[in-house]
Amino acid sequence: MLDQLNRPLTQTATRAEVEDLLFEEAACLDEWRLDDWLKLLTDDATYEIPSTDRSQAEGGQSLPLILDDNRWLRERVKQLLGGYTWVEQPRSRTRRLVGNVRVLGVEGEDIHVQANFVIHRLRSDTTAVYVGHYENVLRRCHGVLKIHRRRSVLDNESLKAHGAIAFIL
Amino acid sequence: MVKGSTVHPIRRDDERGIFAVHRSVYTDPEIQAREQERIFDRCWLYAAHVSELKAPGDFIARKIANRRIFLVRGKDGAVRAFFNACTHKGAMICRENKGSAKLFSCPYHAWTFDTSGTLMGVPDSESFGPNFEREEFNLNPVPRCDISHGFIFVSFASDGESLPEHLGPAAECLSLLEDNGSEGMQVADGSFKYSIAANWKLLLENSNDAYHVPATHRRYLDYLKEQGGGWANPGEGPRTTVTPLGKGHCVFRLHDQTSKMTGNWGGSMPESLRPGMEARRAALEARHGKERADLMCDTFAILQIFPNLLILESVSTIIRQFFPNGVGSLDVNSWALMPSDLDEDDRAYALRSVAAFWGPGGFGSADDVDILESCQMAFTNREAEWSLVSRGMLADRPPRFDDDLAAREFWKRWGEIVAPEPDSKSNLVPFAARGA
Ligand code: FES
Ligand SMILES: [Fe+2]
Repeated sequence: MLDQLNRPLTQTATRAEVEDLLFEEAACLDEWRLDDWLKLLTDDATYEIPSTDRSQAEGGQSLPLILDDNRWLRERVKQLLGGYTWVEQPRSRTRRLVGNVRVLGVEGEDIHVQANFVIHRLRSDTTAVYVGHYENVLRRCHGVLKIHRRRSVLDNESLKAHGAIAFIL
Repeated sequence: MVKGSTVHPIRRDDERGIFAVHRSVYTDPEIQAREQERIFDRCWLYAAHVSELKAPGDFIARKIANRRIFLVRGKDGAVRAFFNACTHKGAMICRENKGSAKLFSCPYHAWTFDTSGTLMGVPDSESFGPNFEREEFNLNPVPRCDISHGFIFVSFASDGESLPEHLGPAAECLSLLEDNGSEGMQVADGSFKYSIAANWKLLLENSNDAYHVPATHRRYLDYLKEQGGGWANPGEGPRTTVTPLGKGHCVFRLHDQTSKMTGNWGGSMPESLRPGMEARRAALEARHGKERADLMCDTFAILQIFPNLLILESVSTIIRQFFPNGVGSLDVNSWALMPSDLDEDDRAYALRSVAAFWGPGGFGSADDVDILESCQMAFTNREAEWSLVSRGMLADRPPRFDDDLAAREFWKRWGEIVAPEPDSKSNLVPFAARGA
């Protein structure tokens, strides 16, 4: 895919603009302002976490940890904000550091960006660390930069220290 | 039995309908050590599915019962299991989790083994002296390895019951699963690897406990209800059957289901999947007859195989296996199992439906993780001693899928192996008699 993206970068988004979006997103998620987070997404956004096996299989052909279409993504947020998602009831504390933001290229209206993350999740006297990178596709909606596809790829070899992923990674 | 006392950890009174388990079974390192010795060092344990070792030379490395082993399909087509330890000085000779190889060359001093474990090459073997016999240093095989309907099992004991003896009628359930695919079954790429800070037996009990679904999984059921689906109350809705299979195995079945990848288009499946689904069902009917095809296509089975394997069917199927990692923690490995003739769209749908509920990121299993961890945390309350496993014991009706029957089958077998002293009704104190 990167081959196709190696065309000269058009001025669709600057790194500063992308960073503003990703940092604001991180704040929304850490502060559990999930309704605000949804506003940073396109109306048809998707959310995906591949399994930690690092399978080389083509998209959709390997067992995902999360593969939410837009309906499931919104449902996920609704459930997280409701009272019956026991794994986040009481809510965990999370703190995420997002960096090494790069605008990889532009393909039609899709702006491909990559960024690294380190997310600490603290709950019940335990700390779990999620390390990885985002492979996001951004789009402009009425001039505003939004997240269209959100793919969180973990470097963790397993979720042995984590148990589950219920909060938005 | 129970630490510091003579109390047996399982209390059973069939007349009064009481079956209780002392919570030390989840916390006592001595019981854990006995489980390791009597169950995990001896029993048949699931290791892999044949579809993960398709061609000669294909291998996978797995951690099974604290051993590091690898399985490889030899040039002769046979599947073999070896300890992943060089016979020279012990280095791991299989360093990737999966792949394909003609030879395994040890990275330490370059001893080289073929896919049947035969030592083929020893650099400067003359220096080991005239009494060095190369054939004495072939790879150490796992004492026993056998296959039942595509499911590969190993045992670290060289004696004991055979795999068919261990499985008994559960083998027929594996055969039914094998027949789900007209061209065989396939474990998909990718797996769930996660841990739960809870004793391994808690996940066993949780995986076949339908009683917890309305409360623990309320958020998911609310969602299903909104979508026009839902969860029938026990005794209403689809027919269910629970069948003990002996030796701690059990299967429960939810009949009359409306969508399953095996060959039942319906529910909320996209129209585009319909032709493939109908073709698969027709092929299964032609091959196995209508009754068996119906059982494969219209029924969700939850198959429990002692000690630590569950095969959970819904729209698609997962293999869930777990091992203790210390007394208060367990490691889970899960794989998606599906007919190997699914096309790309079918496969994507199947995988997505597995992740929706069953995985650590799903709308279901994540909450189970949390609840089981909370049980384990609460077991520090040593004064709160007993857990109740009695549902359905005195019920005047056939066993239901929200009874504790599967768990009791497990506990009975566990008791025979780990705590064989007889029950002692005389000092039965929990529940009914308490405070009297
Ligand atoms: S340890 Fe393998 S060759 Fe020496
Ligand atoms: Fe559950």
